[in-house]
Amino acid sequence: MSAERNLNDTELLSAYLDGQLTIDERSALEARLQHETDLRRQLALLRATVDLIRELPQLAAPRDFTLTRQMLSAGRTNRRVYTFSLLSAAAAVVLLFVGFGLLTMRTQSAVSRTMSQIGNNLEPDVVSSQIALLPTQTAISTQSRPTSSAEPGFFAQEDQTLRGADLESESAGEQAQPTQISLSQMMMTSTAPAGAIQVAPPMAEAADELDDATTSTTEEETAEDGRLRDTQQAQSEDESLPAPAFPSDAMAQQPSQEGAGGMLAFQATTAPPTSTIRPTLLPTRTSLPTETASNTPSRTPTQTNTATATITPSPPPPDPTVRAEPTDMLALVLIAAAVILLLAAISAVIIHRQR
Amino acid sequence: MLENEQALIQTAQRGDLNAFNALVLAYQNNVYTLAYRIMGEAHSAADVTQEAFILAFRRLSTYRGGSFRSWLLRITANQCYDELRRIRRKPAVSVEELPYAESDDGPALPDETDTPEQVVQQKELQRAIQTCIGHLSSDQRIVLVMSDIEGFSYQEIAEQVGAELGTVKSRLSRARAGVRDCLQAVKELLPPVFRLTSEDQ
Repeated sequence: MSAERNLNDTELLSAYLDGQLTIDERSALEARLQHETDLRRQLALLRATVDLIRELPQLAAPRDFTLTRQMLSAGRTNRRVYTFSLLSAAAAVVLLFVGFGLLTMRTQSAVSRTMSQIGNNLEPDVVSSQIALLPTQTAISTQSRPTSSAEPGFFAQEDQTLRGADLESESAGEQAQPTQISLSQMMMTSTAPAGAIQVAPPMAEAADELDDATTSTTEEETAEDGRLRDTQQAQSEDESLPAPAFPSDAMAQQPSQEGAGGMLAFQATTAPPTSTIRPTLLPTRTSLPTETASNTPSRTPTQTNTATATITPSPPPPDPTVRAEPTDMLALVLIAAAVILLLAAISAVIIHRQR
Repeated sequence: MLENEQALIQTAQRGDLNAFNALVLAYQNNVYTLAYRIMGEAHSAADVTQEAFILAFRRLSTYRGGSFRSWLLRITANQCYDELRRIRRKPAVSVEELPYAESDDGPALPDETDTPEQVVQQKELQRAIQTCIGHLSSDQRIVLVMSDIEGFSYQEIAEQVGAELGTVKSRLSRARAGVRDCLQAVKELLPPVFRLTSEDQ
């Protein structure tokens, strides 16, 4: 409180010295000065301080500061350098914005197309599995696009196989439904955390065993991926088609890669309490299904029921994202140009400052 | 003020560097002193002075009459302010070290009435005052120098620093109080009023 009052008094006294108080303020202060000794001391001290400052002498310039034409042109160079740097940085920001915008738009359109395609093809009894699958496919398309280009296509094909399946089964149709869930479980095991799907109690054991089987093959699948991608890429180049970039692309591309007569067959074997699924991709797809099949006999010596689903996939509509490959290139070129411009701007400023 | 100042200004406004240099020679002490009082160090003050004159030549077309000295000093104060901000942002040397550290005011304009002993004492006191000014914040320092050394009014300072009149008043009073308190460290150099007051307190 006292400090605040001192501060206010100092401000009043300072303004009083400069004749900056209103008539009322001045009258009030002068009345106080007549009675308050301390305030008078403060005023004297402040006045002496101001006098000391005002008495500081004028200094002689240490040299002449006359101008030359060189000084003025150096200043113009400064302005040119900074203008160049500013314009370059602004252009870089615009290019970066456009470049990343192109990439983002392309990714989002591919994801939304994949989701809408899945949504249109859903059947009631596989809804839960498909919903659980959605984030997985999204994650694949946005995060691990290069490494998952082959695998999701394979799973997507299997889904199509299931959905359109004309089940030929020795046992009742009830065996087909558990098979679908098990297959989805297998897909989740391969591409998403195992806890992401709920398995019905009667199928829990079968699913667990299936997890083991698919987990054991996952490592081999990963090793195979590289070769598989190479093969697909080679095929794409042979057919003058760009390589699939997303799961939906892979889904659309797959039949053409497998030839006109590409036919998918799915064999599901259920043997409670041990159950094994043996997906087989015919005729050209060999890596994943073959390995899974090769694991099957050792794990399930007794096969009691067999469900076979066969489907001939209809030719998919052409996917515009497959032809959008140049957009990626354009985006990369824009981003690279932006980086170069930024570097040029920074270099110009640094070099100029060093001079 | 130069007799032919307005004529020189008009000639310089047409791009005549010689005419402008005549103005430079006439005002360089004023400009350098302001720069030195704010910057507190000879090298920075010289740099600011040179930049201020270059800027003044470029902006000569914006001069619309009135006191050329005030116009020039306002440009100088702005340059000081920019330089202080630049130093604060990216100090090449420590801020404590740069201004006011064992600084020499440089040659003051001669005053032949003082004895040699008085000259020495005066110089020490001036150095102490300069050091105390240097301990103020840059906002307070600029307001104090413009008001108490260069004699600008509150209104002119408010326009110069882009602040309200009340803000200028407050900054100035705090700056003066800051110098007053700082000078207690060298009270043997101060006038009797300082010593009496400090003993009473």
